[in-house]
Amino acid sequence: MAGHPGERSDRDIMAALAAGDSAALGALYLRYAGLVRCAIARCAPEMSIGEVDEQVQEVFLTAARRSRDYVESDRLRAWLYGIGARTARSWRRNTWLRRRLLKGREGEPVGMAAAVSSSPEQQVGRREEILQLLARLPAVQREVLLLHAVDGWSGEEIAQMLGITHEAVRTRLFRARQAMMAAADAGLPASFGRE
Amino acid sequence: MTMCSSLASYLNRELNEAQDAAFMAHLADCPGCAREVARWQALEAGLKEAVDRVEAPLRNVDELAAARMAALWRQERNAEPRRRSGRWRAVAVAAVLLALLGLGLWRFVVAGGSSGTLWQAPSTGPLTLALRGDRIGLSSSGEVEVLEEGPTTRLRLHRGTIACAVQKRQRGDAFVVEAAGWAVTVVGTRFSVRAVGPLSIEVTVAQGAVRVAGEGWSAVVRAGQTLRGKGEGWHIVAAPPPLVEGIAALLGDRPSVSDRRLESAPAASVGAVPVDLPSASAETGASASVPGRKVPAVLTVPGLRDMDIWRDWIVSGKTAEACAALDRHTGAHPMDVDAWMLLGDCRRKLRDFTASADAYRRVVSAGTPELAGRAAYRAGTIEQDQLKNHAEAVRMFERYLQSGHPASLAAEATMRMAIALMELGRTDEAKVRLMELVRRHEGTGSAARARRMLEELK
Repeated sequence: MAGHPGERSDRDIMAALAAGDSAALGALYLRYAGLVRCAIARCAPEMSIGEVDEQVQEVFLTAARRSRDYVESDRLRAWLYGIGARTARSWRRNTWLRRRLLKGREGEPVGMAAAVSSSPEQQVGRREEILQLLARLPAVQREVLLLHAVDGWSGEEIAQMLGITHEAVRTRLFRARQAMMAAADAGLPASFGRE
Repeated sequence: MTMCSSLASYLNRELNEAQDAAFMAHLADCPGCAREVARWQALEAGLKEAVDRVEAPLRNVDELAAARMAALWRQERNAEPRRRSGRWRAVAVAAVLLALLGLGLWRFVVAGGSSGTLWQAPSTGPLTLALRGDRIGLSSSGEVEVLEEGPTTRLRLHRGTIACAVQKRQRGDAFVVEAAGWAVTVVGTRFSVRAVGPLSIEVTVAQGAVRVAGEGWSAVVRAGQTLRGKGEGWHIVAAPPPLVEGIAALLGDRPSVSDRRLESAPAASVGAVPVDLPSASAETGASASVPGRKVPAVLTVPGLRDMDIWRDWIVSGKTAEACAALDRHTGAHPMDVDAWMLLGDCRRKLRDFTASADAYRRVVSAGTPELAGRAAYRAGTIEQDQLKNHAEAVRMFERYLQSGHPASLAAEATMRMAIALMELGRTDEAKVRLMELVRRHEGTGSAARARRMLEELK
């Protein structure tokens, strides 16, 4: 992906990285760290900003270590997103006990978790209302919905990124949409959209 | 099936142009669907706006963070080697064997002042480096990094096999090769090092002696011996002649090695067989570690070296030999999809199209999405062009298009699929594919051809 003349393509950056050029990792980071941060914040909304940055670093180091595995025909964005999502899920698995014990005493969350009001009774604006609807979806449905509705990935692309079948993507999308629309019609129930 | 049942597909943006237009026409007549679409589109717009606004700060990345990232990576690459975990890492497991091949192609490079330099041998033949009087032969497609060069020289083998002819050194100086978490230290000798798998190594000495060290132990390997080590266990055997001869070949001393020796060489280290460690033996001169402890023999990766050799055989016209070897190999390793892929190519060259398509289908069912996609495309072309089995061709191209790999063949695959569908009399489906081709690949030759075909089909 080269947005401007003279800008290195994804292919060139990955080739340089595979050849041992550490500056190429800087270029890759500049281009995709935002995407990876969002991926991690979505998959692990409990993370603090410090933890997100740490995990982002880990994602790019993983990408550098695996740069020789990268196949040119893969979409780099999807590849990095996939690594980010898996890294975040791994973090959640490895820290679940700590988070249970320290509940309420973690650092400030980021992204959508930070934007969601903690008190449903508070007067909230349209944006916060939508984010609350989103926060109450099961994580697997939320992830697919965001990739499709916000990021514009196709069902097939999402299936490849997440390592699931296209049919599973369709099912999760359908359930997420149904749940969002039902909840939007009915106000904010305590929970909805459970599989 | 009613149009209402296409609502989910419409919202998923899965409909092609014609279907899209048809559904939009349906919305004009179906208040129920129209209401659902309007509800979702409003919610989706709000969702996009809300999430974009929230995530905007996360997308800010500064140059300083990027520079820190690059520095972190540089640090990691320059760090001292540590014991690898037991997990399999395909990239670290390289190599195979020595002696490249009877192609007589090699390159000689004087690598002066090359500390911190990564050397990569071409895929066509070995690369020979000269480091201040030491000579290193690197197998084709191999990679070695020169960490330090001088009285003490340190190399790190990333991939492939290296053979070394090392000048005698003064006390306190050393020539060290690191591979797969092991360190091979020599003081003037000719030897080879092969990283076989995670924590697995094979060291053969043609002249002089080397010390091989793992964690908490070390062993001396002398001329005419091969050490095979895995994890904490190791054993020493008399070096198979092909390994010793291969050292000379890789160093460029002997430009060719006979196929016979090459063919026999891999068999010497295939398979895993529990063996007792040898006790001190007059023949080997080895000193055993823990007596009576069983250690599995080294598992050769049916991997890179064999595949390199078979590919070179195909390139040099020995397709039948490569085919026979691949047949044996896939019989013993039915899940080796890379070998099945190469066998498919071999069979195709030999014009055994049925067997070729069968081999590709193995990859389609068991390979990675990328490999399966390629194999599906190749099988589809054989089914269509040679075997005239259009139904199977359609199935293979469909499989390829589902995989999306490689994307560069998508237009051609769609066109071939349309042609196969027409051969089967499935004209409506062919038209859908042609319209899809025009929509997705506008501006290409395939799209222009598709337009003409659509005109003819009217």
